[in-house]
Amino acid sequence: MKRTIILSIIVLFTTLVFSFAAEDEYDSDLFDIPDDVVTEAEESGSFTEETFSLYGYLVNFLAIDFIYDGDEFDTSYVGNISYLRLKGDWNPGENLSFHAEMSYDAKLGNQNPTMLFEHYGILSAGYQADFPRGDFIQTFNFDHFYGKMSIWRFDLQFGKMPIAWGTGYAFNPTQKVSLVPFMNTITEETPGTYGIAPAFSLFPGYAIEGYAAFQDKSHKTTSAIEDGDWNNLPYGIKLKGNIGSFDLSLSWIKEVLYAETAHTRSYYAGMDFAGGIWDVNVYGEAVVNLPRNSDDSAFDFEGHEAKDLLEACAGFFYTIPVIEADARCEYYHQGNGVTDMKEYNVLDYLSGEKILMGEDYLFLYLDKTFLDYYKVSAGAFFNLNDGSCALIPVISYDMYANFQVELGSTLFFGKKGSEFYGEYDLSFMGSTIIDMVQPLVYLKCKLSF
Amino acid sequence: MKYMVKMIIITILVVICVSFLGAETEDALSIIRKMEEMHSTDSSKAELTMIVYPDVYNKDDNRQFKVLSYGKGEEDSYMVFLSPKTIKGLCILSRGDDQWVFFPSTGRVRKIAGQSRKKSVQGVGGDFTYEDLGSGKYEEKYTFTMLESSKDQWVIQGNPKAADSSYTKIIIYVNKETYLTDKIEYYTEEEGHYKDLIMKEVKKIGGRLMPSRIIMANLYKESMTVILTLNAEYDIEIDDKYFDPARFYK
Repeated sequence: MKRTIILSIIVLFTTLVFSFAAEDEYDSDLFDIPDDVVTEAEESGSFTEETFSLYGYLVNFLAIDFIYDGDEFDTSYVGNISYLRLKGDWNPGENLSFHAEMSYDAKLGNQNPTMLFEHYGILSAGYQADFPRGDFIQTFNFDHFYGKMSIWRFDLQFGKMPIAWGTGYAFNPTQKVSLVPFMNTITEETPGTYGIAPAFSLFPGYAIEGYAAFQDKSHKTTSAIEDGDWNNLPYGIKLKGNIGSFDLSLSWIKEVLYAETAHTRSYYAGMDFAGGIWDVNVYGEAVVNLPRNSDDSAFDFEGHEAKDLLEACAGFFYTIPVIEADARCEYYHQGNGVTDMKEYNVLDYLSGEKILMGEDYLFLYLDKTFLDYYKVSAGAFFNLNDGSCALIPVISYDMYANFQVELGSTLFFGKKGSEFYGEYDLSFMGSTIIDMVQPLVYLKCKLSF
Repeated sequence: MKYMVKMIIITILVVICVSFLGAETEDALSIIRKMEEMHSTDSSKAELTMIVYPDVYNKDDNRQFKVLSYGKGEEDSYMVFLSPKTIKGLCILSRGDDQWVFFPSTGRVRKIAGQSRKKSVQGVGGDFTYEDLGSGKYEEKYTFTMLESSKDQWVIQGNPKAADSSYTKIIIYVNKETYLTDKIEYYTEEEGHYKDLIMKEVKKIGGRLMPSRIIMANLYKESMTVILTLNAEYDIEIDDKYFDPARFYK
């Protein structure tokens, strides 16, 4: 009996020792590469950057909105956007390249702005009938086409190109050449601007760069004699460098915006930064508007408060270790915004002068990726002045390397009269009260080719 | 005569013993330095295929990426993704501990710092983090101690110098014959033995002895990412602009 017990203990002990030893080991076959995959990759042979390439993506955005009358969901509209982006590259030499991007979209149903403007009375009913040759569904746009060349320490870009200044994610106060679409769920491309953009590297990590644009920030589609006035040419110049773990830049920017009937000019001193403090990614950018006197001959600060001249954003990005979710928080101050919701002027928004009307905003974002290709995320914009909020929850799945499907929603919360409540009185334009925002559920499919 | 033969045998034995002793007493840091010397080049250009397997039990589900990789010295590396088309033109510049990513769709350069360096590349996924893809000398990041010396390998433990390192320790298996890395084990505080970098199929590529298959086996997620080196050139002229954070995307 004693022998049996001893023997059992030995067997048990041996089993335990082996199982503990095995715990740190793994089946190496599990991590073997299938031969066919390797053979296929190796047989595909050597590759380099193609001289010519044509690629892009196609998006289908199906949207259903719900009109909420305060008590229950009332009517519902459906709409669809088909968006095609074609991109082309030509690389004739290492320091010479050409890039072009064309976009085509067709907006139907509740996604068609002309239909909505007619529906709300902003455009007269039957407005489209006045333009029998007009197309109110499709748009075709050569959004980018630019050449790039480098020689020694000098780089030059010219044509219609994205000029994407700033380190912010949701807001970019230093980007003054184009209106960046706000809450755009179709595409993240930066609109192209006609211009030239030279850059000179002072020494590694430090450069002076700039742009001279040939169109104002509105990117209007009409031409005026004033467009050729030297005073109406926007430009920006930036000195950027790398100090420790931070990237920093100082800039001087002239913004020109054609609003309503005339060009307005603004001058800004700006800066941006991005870097890491401990485990946190921090970034920010700011511009100070330097006001001019009435005849635009000199700077004049009289009657201006510093907080009204400042436009800034600052944020941080952090990966929460336990749940491995990414969190982002970004604060935005728009000095020329208003804090009293009675002073909201929807024309500033409709004309493209401003993307938001308030003064202080907070953007919060959280996402979690599962098995590399499933992502659940939620982004929220809060107007800190009137307490309203826009919430965008999204579930996305990269079904194939070149195919992604996304189910999302845009939801709006706030008290009556607040920005994201969305109702504005346009009786002075002959319209009644319009509701600019509707809760929306969408299904987006994106195929890259 | 008999005495002479005895003396010769003893001398030979002493020489053999001393030479063995010398090899064994080679310290961990010297081995790491020699290993890095074997891997180091003035400049390099490589064509890589990266294959991501999100689940090792389902190897039919994989994503392939074609990457051109450029290196300068031990500190600087630059990678550009050529396919799939969803991320064509995405560039990553690494200079020591600093990293920048250029996203062609937005036209913006993002600095990668803090916790972001512990994440896999956006749009690519897989088991290589920005930190793993980064450059820099091991001895600047870790202090080393010898754990074991077998017939074929040295087993060396590295403890991170920086408090914000992704890993609590790494264990490097160095091949005694070639001074190339056979395997690196990565350990984290939460997961313990987290992943292994396994080098396979050592052969001459571009005139240098290199592993042509590199596997990052994630033991915790049971996923893996493979890098196949299809072609490589060494000590060639590469434009400095690829390694300049102010210019690499221009």
